[in-house]
Order: sequence, then structure tokens, then C-alpha cells
Amino acid sequence: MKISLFITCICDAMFPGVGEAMVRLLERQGVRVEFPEGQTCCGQPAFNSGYWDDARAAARTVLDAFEDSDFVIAPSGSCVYMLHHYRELFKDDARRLGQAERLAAKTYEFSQFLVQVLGVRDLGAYFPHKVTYHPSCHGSRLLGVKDEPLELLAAVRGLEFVPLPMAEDCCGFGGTFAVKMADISGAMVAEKAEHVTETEAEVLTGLDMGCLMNIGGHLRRKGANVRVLHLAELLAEGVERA
Amino acid sequence: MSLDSRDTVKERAEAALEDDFLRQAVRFTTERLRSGRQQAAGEHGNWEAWRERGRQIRLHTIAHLDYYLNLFAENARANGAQVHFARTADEAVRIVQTIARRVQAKTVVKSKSMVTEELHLNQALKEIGVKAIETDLGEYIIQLAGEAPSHIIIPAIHKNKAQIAEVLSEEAGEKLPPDTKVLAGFARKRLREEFLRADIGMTGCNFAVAETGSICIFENEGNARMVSTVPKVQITLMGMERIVPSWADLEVMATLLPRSATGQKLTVYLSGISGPRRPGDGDGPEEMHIVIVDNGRSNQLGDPEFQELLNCIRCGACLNVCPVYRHIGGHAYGSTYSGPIGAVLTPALKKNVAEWDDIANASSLCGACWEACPVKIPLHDMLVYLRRRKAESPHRSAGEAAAMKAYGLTMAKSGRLASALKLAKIGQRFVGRDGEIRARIGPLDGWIRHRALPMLPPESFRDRWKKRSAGVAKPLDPAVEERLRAAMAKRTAGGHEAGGAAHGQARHMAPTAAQVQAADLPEQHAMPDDQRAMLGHIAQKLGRRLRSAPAVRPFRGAPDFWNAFTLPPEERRERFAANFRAAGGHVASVPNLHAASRYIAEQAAARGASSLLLQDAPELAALALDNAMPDACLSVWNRDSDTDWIAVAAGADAGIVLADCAAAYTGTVALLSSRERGRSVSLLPPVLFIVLPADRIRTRLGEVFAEFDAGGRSAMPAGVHLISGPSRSADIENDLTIGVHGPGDAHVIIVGSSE
Repeated sequence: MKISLFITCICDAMFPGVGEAMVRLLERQGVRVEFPEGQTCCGQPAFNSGYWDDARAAARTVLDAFEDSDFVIAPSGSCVYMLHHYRELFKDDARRLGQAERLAAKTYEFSQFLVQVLGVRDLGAYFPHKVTYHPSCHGSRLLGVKDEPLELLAAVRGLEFVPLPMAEDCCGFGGTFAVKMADISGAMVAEKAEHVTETEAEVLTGLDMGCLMNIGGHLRRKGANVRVLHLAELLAEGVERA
Repeated sequence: MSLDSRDTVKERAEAALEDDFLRQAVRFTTERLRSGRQQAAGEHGNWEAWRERGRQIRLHTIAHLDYYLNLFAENARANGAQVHFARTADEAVRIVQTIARRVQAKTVVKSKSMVTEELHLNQALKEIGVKAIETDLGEYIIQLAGEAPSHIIIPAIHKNKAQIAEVLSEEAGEKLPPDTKVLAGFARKRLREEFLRADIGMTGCNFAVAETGSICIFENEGNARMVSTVPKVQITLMGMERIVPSWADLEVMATLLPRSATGQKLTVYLSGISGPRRPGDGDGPEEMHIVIVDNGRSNQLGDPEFQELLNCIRCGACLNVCPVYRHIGGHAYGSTYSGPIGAVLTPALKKNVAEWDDIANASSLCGACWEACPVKIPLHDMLVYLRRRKAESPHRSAGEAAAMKAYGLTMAKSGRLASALKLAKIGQRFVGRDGEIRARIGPLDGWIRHRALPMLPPESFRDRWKKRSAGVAKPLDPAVEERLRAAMAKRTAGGHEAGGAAHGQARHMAPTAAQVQAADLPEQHAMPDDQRAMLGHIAQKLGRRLRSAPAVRPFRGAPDFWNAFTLPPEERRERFAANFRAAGGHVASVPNLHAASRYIAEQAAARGASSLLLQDAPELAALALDNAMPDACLSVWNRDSDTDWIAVAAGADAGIVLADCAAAYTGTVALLSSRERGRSVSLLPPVLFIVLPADRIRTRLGEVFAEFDAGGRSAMPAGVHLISGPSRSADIENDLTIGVHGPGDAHVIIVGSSE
């Protein structure tokens, strides 16, 4: 049985701690994780910008890297959902299309894997802080991962959960959108950050580092004292403190 | 029309972002509409089943558009209407201009129509010396201000009360206070004069029912009713995709549209108009034209990525949930249609990629629009398709293309990615400080302007993974392995239980041309040239010959669970009353006509209403109002052919009508027009009394519509008017205004026992 980690390029390059936290938590659950080194990026930046040939170049590395995996787990609902688009990218290539179908079926976002596949909600974590949660759009809306992170948070001892006002509104990240339409994106993240500060939470958590880097970057610019953690980091820290 | 003339969406958005009032106003209104929709959808229950059914009906209709348009045109003609087909905006404009010239029109009163905005029809009429007057309160305001609508259903969303007062004061020639009641009162009075004097009434069309040739209009103010009741000539402009096959299907749209648009169970008025007035009628147009417009819509037909765009029912729900629209408002989109639907529709209506601006980039692809859409149009995917088409054209940005090429090359091999990261880590030493990138160069500038950008850590995840000693991990736990095997078995048996919400459905173009079993239309079928040209074009785009019969479809109208739903009679009465009251109307339950007569007399007296106009019906004669109100001036509609009965209705203090039936679930009464039962009686006087025999209350709107389907075209009255409360508007800063054009004081008197 091969259970593989799809680290995603952003966590690989910028947030290696997220991947490590995920691996620690999974191993604690008795899951042995492998890391296929051929993987690069899911291809989303090029796909969303309309450059599908360039997206395919990235996608092929992902298809090949996980070809013989039985399960693929990633710390991002957005990158996982991108794999579902591979069917469109390779609709004229029977071999790649077959790979794409299999990959979409066996890939899970991290919290989705814990709750839906392993059936675990309580990881035994202790995290005595006020926490709010931002549901990233692609993970919650497109992939349908809505309750899983909340169930995992609900099982953490000592954690005080504060709902985020207008939580379902996009934070303004949107990949290249944040750069191409910087001011619209800036207005969106400013409102999101206001809602985070309104909750008076000490910690903001979520399932996508793109969005969290966006909100966290704005909070930092505003000098707000909020820690921003991927759910895996929060849970791993909580497990250590328990 | 002052569509914002700045060149790019980006520039227009920047200007909008500096307009604090605009942003505040848009936020406030969209939040109100958004929570209204959520509440209405939740209350109704089974919302996903309704959405799916709505989508199926729209997919089926568009896949057979040539057939249904032909059926509609034939039925509309049989009803006495003149049907015109316009392939382009110019053709549509010419058709309207020709009619206006022929009837020597001076003024045209218009109810809300996005198609006419698209055609810039007001300007075209002005060019031939005809004054077009918008009569929807919001549209009236922005027309006077010389602006364009910035929201599909709340056109003046961007204006505040003080600005509106200024605009209306100029029109009034006196200073009007920024008071919603005063402002709406002025508009009512001024526009009432225009309705009575206009030569042509012009409407849009929410849906056209093919099987009876009826056009259907949803509205709250009553101006669309005015426009289709008072002037001698009516012109209806409709986008060619506005068709539904039957009234049963209209029930589904009537369930989805108002709930998605404003959170109402039903709009105050839903009018079904089947041709001009019948011989002997005292009101309604003598001449009715229906102009069916393509104007780029057929570009979408046969295109698997965009055909679903024609499913749109123009509710505006996608605008209300869109975080981009929320911050920049409608004008920044630079086109007739704004928000997510506008961002897709505007380029899609133009075939030529060279004419596309950067609007498709103004989205974070969050998918909120798709989630809110009552017919599940995947707008977020379509935005990507638009970007792809531009990227594959010569009009792409060279810089972006080069950047993406570099991205693709880097990501094609993990070794290249590792080298690129190594380089980046060296490079960032020169531009970073305290863990943050500081240099505002190239694409970094936009990011850094609004947020901190962390520097790359010294080691990537893969660097660290390499350092992990092999064998550090324990083998797979057998119990876990068992769970995983079970999950894999389920996967092969029927797919991933978490397969992705958006891709879980078979999404694109449900029935393919090959699956459709239908007969071709015989060549000799008599058809006017304009009709044959448009329908032939549609069939060609759909990749087949003209159809004379539709595919058999497994569904018609509402989902089965809904058709089985019925309330006991007493509950129907209560539910009806509760809903009609919640909409701001009054309901009295009385045992007999004598008591009804007393109620009317008391209420009329309390309002100082002394001149009353009754429809000509035995039930109303039996009220014997002359006994109950000996001093009142009572007239009965259309008793002689010499009187101008519309003028009588305009002068009456109250109208008294008989309801043909009612639907409890939405709190709606239905009035069918005839020679004796003029439409003006329920529309022009400020007070309305509706006499409703208790045994006519049904549970669902669908039960009312079923009678229309059963009777067929030949049994349709010229006007079917569904009324669910007093006339209302929220176009001035969200303040609820009652009695904008129709009666502000609406009473239903339920007579007798429910059994």
C-alpha cells in the first residue's frame, strides 16, 4: 500500500513546516507516508490564466509522480481540486486521461483524508487558544470539504472556536489574481482581515497556504497580532502540547 | 449613456475602490439580497432539487430552441400578436423604429428590460424624435441622471437618497427633500401622467411560454402592468433564449427567480400576456409586437463550454454573492451586464476576441456565483475558458505568455524547480529584510502594496525530507490498512465519495444532438423569412436540421415530491392570509357576500374612498354595494362602449375585483382578464379590494398554472395577472416603498367556508 504526500509547490518552497506537521500527524495515526520526488506543481497558475499547454507540462509531473500511489494526500483543497481539471486538460489523450481519472479518485485533501477515510476526528490535541477558521473557496465550495476541518477543531481540547463573520467570502487570493488585479484583491483581503480581527481570535487557521499567506500577509502589514497556522500545524502543535 | 469610458476594468475598478459611498451602498444592498435568498431557499426546502430541475428545463429548452421558438411564434401569432425576429442589435432597433414611426409615436413608456439596454434602444428612439421613458423607479432615476444600471435588478444601487433627491428635484422643478416617500410619490405622480399619455408601452420578457404563446413578466412595482395595459401599442423585446415550454415549467422558474433575486416567495405581480386585447375589451394594447433578439446569443449554441450561459434567468444572485462586485460595483464592468454573469456574457456575446477587454481577469475564481446560481451555471469555469481563448489568440499579453512558458518549463521537471528555488534564495538576499521581501518590482508590487510577502526559508520541504533518515517511519498499521482497503474498494465500486461537488454532475450540454430523437421540420413549412433565417441559424449552430418535434423529455414542471404536496383547506386559507399579510397586504375572512360588502364599505369609508370601480361579475353585483354605500359613486367596468374606461379607473379611489383562484403557498391571487373583467380595475386605483371565494384557494402555484396548460392556447385570456401584495419598491436606498405604481393598499376578502 503506497500512501503519498502531494506537498504542493507553495508548501514545498515556502511552508515546509506544514508538510512536516502533516507527516507527523499521519504517522501518529499509523499511516506510513512516502514523498515521490518527481512532483512539482499542480499547474493551477497556468490553467487558471488560460495557458493550458504550460499547465499540462506541470500536470504531467504530478500524474507520473503518483501513478503507482494508492492514496495521495495534500495540504490544499485548491490544489486537490485542480487535479479534477486534468480530465479537461487531457481529454484528447487516452493514456493521460486514464491517469487523470485515477488520480482524481485517489487524491484527498488532508482533513478530508483524516475524517472520511481514516474516520478520525479526535487527534488528542490540546490547544488552549481562541481560534477562527477561514474556509477556502475551492476546498469548501468545489471540493465540498466543509465539515471535516470543523469536526477536527471541535475535538481539540482547550480550544475556543469563534466563527468568522462572512466566512464563505473569498479572501482575494485567487493565485495570479492577487497580482493582476492587485487593488481589487487588496480590498477583498482588507475586509477579510477586518473580520478576522473582529473575532479577537489569537489564531487563524485554514486548509490552504495560498489564502493564509494572503490574509496573514495583510494582517502582518496592519500589525495585527494574529498567528496564522495551517490546520495541520495547529493540530501537530496541539498533539505535542497534550 | 455614460457607461464608464475608462479603458480597462483595472482602471475603472481603481476609481470605484476610491468611492466609499458606492462600496458601502453596494455592500449593504447585496448583503440584504444575499441573506434574503439564503432564507427563502432554506425555507422552501429541497433547494438543490429545484435547482437541478431548473437546470434540466433550461438545458432541454436551449437544446431544442429552434423548435420552441417556432412553437412560441406560431402560438403568439394565433393570439393576435405580431412576431419579429432580429439577428442583430441593428435589426432589432430598426424594427422598433419602424413601428414607432408608423404609429407616429411621441413617447414610449418602458418597463425594465436588460435587452433594451443592450440595444441602446432609448438612444435609437431619441434619434427619430421619440422620447423613451423608463418607469421602473430605479431605472427612472438613473435615466434622469444620464447613467446606466449597475445591477440587473437594483439598477440604482449606487445612488444614495440625497443624490436621488437632487436628480428628481431637477425634474420636478422644485426642491424635493431626501425622503423616500416624497421621492417615490413624485415619481408615481409624474409617471402616471406618462403612462396615460404614452403611445407605446415597451416591456422586456422574463419568460415566454411556448405552448400558449404567452410572455411573462415578474415585477414588484406594477409599471410593467401599466405599460402592457394602458398604451394602445405594446412592444415586447425578448432575448431569444427566454423560452420555457409550458406553464408547468414556468412554475419552476417562478420558484427559482424571485427567491434567488430578492428572497421573495413571488414578486408582487406576475403577468402572463397572450396577445393584444380581445374584441370588446376595455383595456390592454390593441396592437402587440414581440421582437425576438439574437444579438450574439447564438454564438453560444453548439459550444460545449458556453451553451449553458443561455440558461441564465437574470436573477442577479451571482452579483449579490460576488466578492469582486461587492467592492467595485456594476459600472466598473464597463458593460450592460455586470458581476460574474456580465464578466462572462459580455465577451461571450462578441465573437471577436480582439474586442474582449480584461474583464475575465477580474475574478478570483472563488465559485460563489456558481453556488448561488439557481440554474447552476459554472461561471467560474467559463471565466477560465475565456482566459484560455484569449491566451490562445494573438491578443494575449506577451509578458504573461512568456512568464507562463517559463513556469511550464520549470515545472516540467522537479530538478528544474529545485534549481529555480536555489536561484530565488540567492536573489532574495538582495531584496529581503526581516523575513519579508521588500522590493516592489514587477508582479511583486501588487502583492506587496497590500500584504507582506515572506522570504523563502533556507530549506524547502524536499530538502528536509532528504535529511530524514530512512526507516524513521513505522510500517503501516494493519488496522489502518484495513480501512484504506475498504476505501479503495468503495472507489472502484462507484467512485470517490468526495469526488468534488462541482464535477460530481454530468455538467455540459445534457442531451447531445445524437441522443435527441426528433423529427426534422419539413422544408415546405410556411414560415416568414426572418423566422426561417433565425431558426435555421439556430439549428445549424446546434449541428442539425430544423426540428418539428422536441425530444421526449423525462420531466415537465416541478419535481414529483412537490406535485404531491397539498394542504388541507383550512390550512390553505391560513397560509394564504399569512403570506399576503407578510407582503404588506390586508386579509379579511368573512362568512358571506353581505359581510364582504360591509367590510368594503367600512374600509372605503376609513380611507375616504367615495368613487369605486367594480369589475362586471355576478358575484360582485351580489355584494349590493349600493345598499352598503349609498353615498358612493359606483361604476361597473365596460358597461358601455363610449366611455374611456381606463380614464374611469385612473380617477377611481378604489377598484373591486373577483379572484379566479389563489395559491396559498405564495399568497397569490390570480385574475383573468376579459371584456367584463378589465385589468385596469386591479391596477390604477390606489386601493384594491379582491373578493376571493374560499373554495378557490389552492395550495401551489402549479395548480393554478395546470389549468392554463390543460386549456391550451385558445383558452388563454389576454391577460393573466397574479398579485401577491401591494405594489412595492426598494429602489431608493433599500427603503421599502409601498404603492409605487399599482395599488399601495391591497385587501383580499375571503368569502365563505373553505370546504
